[in-house]
Amino acid sequence: MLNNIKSILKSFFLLEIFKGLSITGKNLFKKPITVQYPEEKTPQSHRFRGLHALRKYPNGEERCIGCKLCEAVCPALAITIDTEMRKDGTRRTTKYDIDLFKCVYCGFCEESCPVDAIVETKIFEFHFEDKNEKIITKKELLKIGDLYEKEEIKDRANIN
Amino acid sequence: MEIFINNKSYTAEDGETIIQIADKFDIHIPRFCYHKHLSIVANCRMCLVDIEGFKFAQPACSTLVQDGMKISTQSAKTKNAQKSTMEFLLINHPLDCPICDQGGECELQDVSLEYGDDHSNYMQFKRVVVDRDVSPLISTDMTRCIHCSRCVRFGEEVAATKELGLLDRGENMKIDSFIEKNIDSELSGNMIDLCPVGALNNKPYRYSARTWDLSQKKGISPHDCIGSNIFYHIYNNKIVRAVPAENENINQTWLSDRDRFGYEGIYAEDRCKRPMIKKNEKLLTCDWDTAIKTLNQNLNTLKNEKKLDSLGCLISPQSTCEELYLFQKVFREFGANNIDHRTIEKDFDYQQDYPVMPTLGCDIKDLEAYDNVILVGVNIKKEFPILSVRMIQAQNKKTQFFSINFQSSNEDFNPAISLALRNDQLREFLDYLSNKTNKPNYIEEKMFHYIFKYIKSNKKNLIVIGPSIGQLPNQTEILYSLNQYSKKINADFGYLTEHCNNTASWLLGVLPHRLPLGKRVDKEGLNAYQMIEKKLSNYIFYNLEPECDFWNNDLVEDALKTSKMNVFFSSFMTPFIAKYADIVLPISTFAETHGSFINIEGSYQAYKQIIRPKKEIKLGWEVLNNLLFINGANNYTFDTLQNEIKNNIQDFDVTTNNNFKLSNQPLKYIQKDIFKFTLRNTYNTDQIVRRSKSLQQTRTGKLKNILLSNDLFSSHKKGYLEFIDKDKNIKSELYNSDQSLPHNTIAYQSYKIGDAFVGARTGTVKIKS
Repeated sequence: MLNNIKSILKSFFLLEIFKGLSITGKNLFKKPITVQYPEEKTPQSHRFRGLHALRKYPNGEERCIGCKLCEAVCPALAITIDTEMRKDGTRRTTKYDIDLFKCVYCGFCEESCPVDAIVETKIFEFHFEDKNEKIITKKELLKIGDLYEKEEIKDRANIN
Repeated sequence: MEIFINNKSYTAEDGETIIQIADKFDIHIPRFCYHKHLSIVANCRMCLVDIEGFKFAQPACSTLVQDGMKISTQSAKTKNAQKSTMEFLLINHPLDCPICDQGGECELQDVSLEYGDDHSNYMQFKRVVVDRDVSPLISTDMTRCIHCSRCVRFGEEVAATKELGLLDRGENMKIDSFIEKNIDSELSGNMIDLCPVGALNNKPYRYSARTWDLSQKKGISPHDCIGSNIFYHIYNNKIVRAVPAENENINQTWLSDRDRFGYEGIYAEDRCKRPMIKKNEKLLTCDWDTAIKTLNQNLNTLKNEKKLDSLGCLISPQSTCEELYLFQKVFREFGANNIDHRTIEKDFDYQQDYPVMPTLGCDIKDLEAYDNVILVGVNIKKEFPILSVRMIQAQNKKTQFFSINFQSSNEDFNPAISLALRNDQLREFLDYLSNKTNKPNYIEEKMFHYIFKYIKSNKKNLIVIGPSIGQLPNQTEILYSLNQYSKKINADFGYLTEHCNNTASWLLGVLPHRLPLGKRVDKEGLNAYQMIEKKLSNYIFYNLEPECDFWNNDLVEDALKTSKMNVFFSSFMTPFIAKYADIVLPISTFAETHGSFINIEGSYQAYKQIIRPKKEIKLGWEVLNNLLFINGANNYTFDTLQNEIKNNIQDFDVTTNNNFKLSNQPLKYIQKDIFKFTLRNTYNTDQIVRRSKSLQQTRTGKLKNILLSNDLFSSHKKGYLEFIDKDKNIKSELYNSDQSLPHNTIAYQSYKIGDAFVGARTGTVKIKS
């Protein structure tokens, strides 16, 4: 009986709404925490694992020796590599494909690489307009590597 | 006696070593230099084990067991010894596992993971060894070598050609070939398997895949009649390498280079890719249905017009049993009688009395039970390299070998006598051995003395007839004389055949005069040579290369020119096929089909499809089955087909005597002018090997000269050689002298000299002076 009267009074004076509005009112005058992406960005860890890149040595020689350790370690089977003997007798890849839909960005490839060739850059803003673009090839990977080499070096220095 | 390993008791025999017992009972002891088929040197020190009562750990490979010996493979002393050995081995081993092809299957890698330490105390520079290019088949990275000396011992003991050795001492010690020579042995590929690290590796396979990517399928060697067991390693539906599959009865743990690298021929550029039909003098591609229907129509027209006598059906004995059986069945069902597989032979008078299935007459492993083995017309090292291993083993057990050939044989074992005779001399020689009349004057007296001293009828003798005899124009005569001689000395008769499945071709009745299992044919057909010589109007070629697989390729070309219909079931598009074919049906090679081979001991070995063929290439037996099916016969599945063959041959007694009696004494063959013959070049024997790029780059593969016997060479003064071969005029600058030939003889090293084919395999020529 008493409870019934209480609830009738509560709903009659709109108590719950005022309670909620008070929180809104408080937050209205606080400093907002929302980041205005893409104008603003949150800071990233040095260890952030984004889009892949293949690095080169300062003399322009590609680092990758085609040992296929990254392919073997990849838990999502996202990497496909074919190798050959290049004319100078060294082991090189003829195909280095990463399926970005399969990739889980775990960073095992980076970790297993004996020559630091495959790395995961901090780029996370990439998109495809065609489904086939999800597979990035060796050429594209090397290009990404060229563009972000300086940042990579900086990141690596910071991690160590 | 009883010994204890890790406190468990095991029984052992006197004279066994610890590692043998451990291997028998699956107790793992790490090792590098020990190999069960090689001698024991104990130089890697990896197999050290703790033995009670010894102050230091002892090598398990060279320590003989003693009664009550207590061995521990787990104790601290053992572990410590292994760890220290490993550290020393790794001092000079480079850390290039990521680019090393051995990575993933490397014994050093495995052992170091299990028994090694995780850090090294060694901080100085590592040793670097300069590499030499020693062979087109083996790549070397000698910096990786750990000096286990397995490759050296293999050369010394198994192949009996010492090509590699340990040079220098201490820090400078290296494995290298002597005096800048290359590795030319026909068994060299085995060093790749033996090498526990990546120092000697497979050159054609180099960097093409990693070991963990490969799948493994078992196959049987299609290149010689020994039937070695092979594991093919496949990456992305492509064979990338071959390694031996262990079979103590046949190839043990070895494989000849031909079997190891021969598969490359499958990937030749001239593979037939689509069925083709000739329309308006042009070969045009078509679909399978049209091709089969056209062929069927043509065959039925022949049948209805009763012209099947003008159809010649020829098949290569390199085909599988299933293909051979179906081939004769299909064309016999149509009513054709001219069926044959003996395309490299000329003289067929022997055929009525020949055994149902020619075999070696004994198991390969039983060769050492003979006192004397007489090899006629075969050079084991060059033609059956894997058999060389057995013969070396037999020789070590006091078997004597006598070699009689057209070129004195260069063997890895040491034949007691090695004679080079012309075909007419061979007959005279054999006749003298059995009758002792008309003594040939071209053979030294002491040779005869030796032969009569050792080859006696109370000894166990074996006469082995090689494939070169089949090429002679007087084959029957030689077989007759050999037969006489074998009776005189009470010898067993054995054959070594041209291709991998000649035995099955005989047994399954791919012959003009016999049905399967040697049953008689009502109406005897033409043999292979007659079919070509008589210029029939219709031909069916199965798996044959018209340029190289025939006794006389000139005659083949003439026959193809005049005939109306030439059907080629072929895997390869050769120039002759492109020029003369009316219907081309692309069929699988040995690797792309299921199949079976019967080897020279008579053992039936089946294997499963190794790789899938390309889209438009069909399996050979399927095409033949299709042809049967559209004519209303039962449709076979592969299993029913194989079972039918198995049921057919299971009652056949392989051990039946190879000795055969020739009912008529053949006429005496008289050799006029210069004797000419074609050597069976190791890497030229079948169509797949001929297309193997790396084998063709070896020294043996490059032999393409004309050899002149010494007497001809010394009387020849011109800078070029010009001679008449029947009515063909041949001019060549590629010739040199060869001491191992008998007088008045010319030998071709290959079926092709320059761009010209050699014509008849054997015969006579006249040199123009």
